[in-house]
Amino acid sequence: MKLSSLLTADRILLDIKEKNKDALLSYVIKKLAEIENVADPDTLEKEVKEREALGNTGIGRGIGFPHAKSSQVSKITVLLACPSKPIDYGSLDGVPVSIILFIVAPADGDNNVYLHTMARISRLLGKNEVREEILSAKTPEEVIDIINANEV
Amino acid sequence: MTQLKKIILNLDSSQESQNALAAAITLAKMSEGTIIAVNIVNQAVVTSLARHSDKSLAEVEVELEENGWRYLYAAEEQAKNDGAHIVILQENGYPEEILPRLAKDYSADLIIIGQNKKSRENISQSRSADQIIEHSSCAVLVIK
Repeated sequence: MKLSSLLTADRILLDIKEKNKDALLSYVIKKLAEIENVADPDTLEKEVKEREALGNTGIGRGIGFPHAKSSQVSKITVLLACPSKPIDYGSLDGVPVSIILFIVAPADGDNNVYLHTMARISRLLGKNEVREEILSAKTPEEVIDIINANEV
Repeated sequence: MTQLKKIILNLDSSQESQNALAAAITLAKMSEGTIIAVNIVNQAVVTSLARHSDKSLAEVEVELEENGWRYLYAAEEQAKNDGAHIVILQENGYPEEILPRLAKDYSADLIIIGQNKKSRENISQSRSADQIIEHSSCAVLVIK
């Protein structure tokens, strides 16, 4: 499943003012619940933060990739968020995070699709030029164009 | 070896790597440590696979990178479901160079590698495993 098929302009949040990881995760989940059918956003937030406590999802190079499987959603859902200033995410490489890609999948969904989707996204965002282009984008539509142009 | 607070795990597609993951989870839980799971896109493997297929180097690299992330996320899911702490990362290069460097950078207490003589994606050459042992500042556990 391609990232470009999951991301629409309303799922791309730029210039977010939250200043720490916890607040940013809460904000992202709240926004997701506004545009997607999330059964219980509070439960989803709790699940995501519990998983985060068992291992930081900062995958390096300034990317945070919080993810979870949850019974609170019925389909794979993605949201991309860029804080106005990089935030300390506790990533292994110590690089503050400037792009957050949040993905949540149904608890009983196809695990292979979930893993494959995350793998595609991680590879895509691992490229310096893609990250730099996304960070210089002014609008969600520009971000979508960048992803469309770079996704194999 | 006193504590195993940081365990570097070399992760790939092999059964031996899965065995190594199981060992890493057990050790991490026992010592309340963290697994640093790393998938290495081995440039020697990229070159070899491209030479023996009709795919370009870039295509092979993309394929190995995506597969690597898939292994990493599957391992992360397994570790977290088992209640073990884990972080994941992907590197491009050679295991015998990257694993000792990561061990030093992150002050790791142990490196765990799976060894499979048949898989080209694994640390298949004993020379590579020997070099990892020789150049690492911490203990190295080889799982078969």
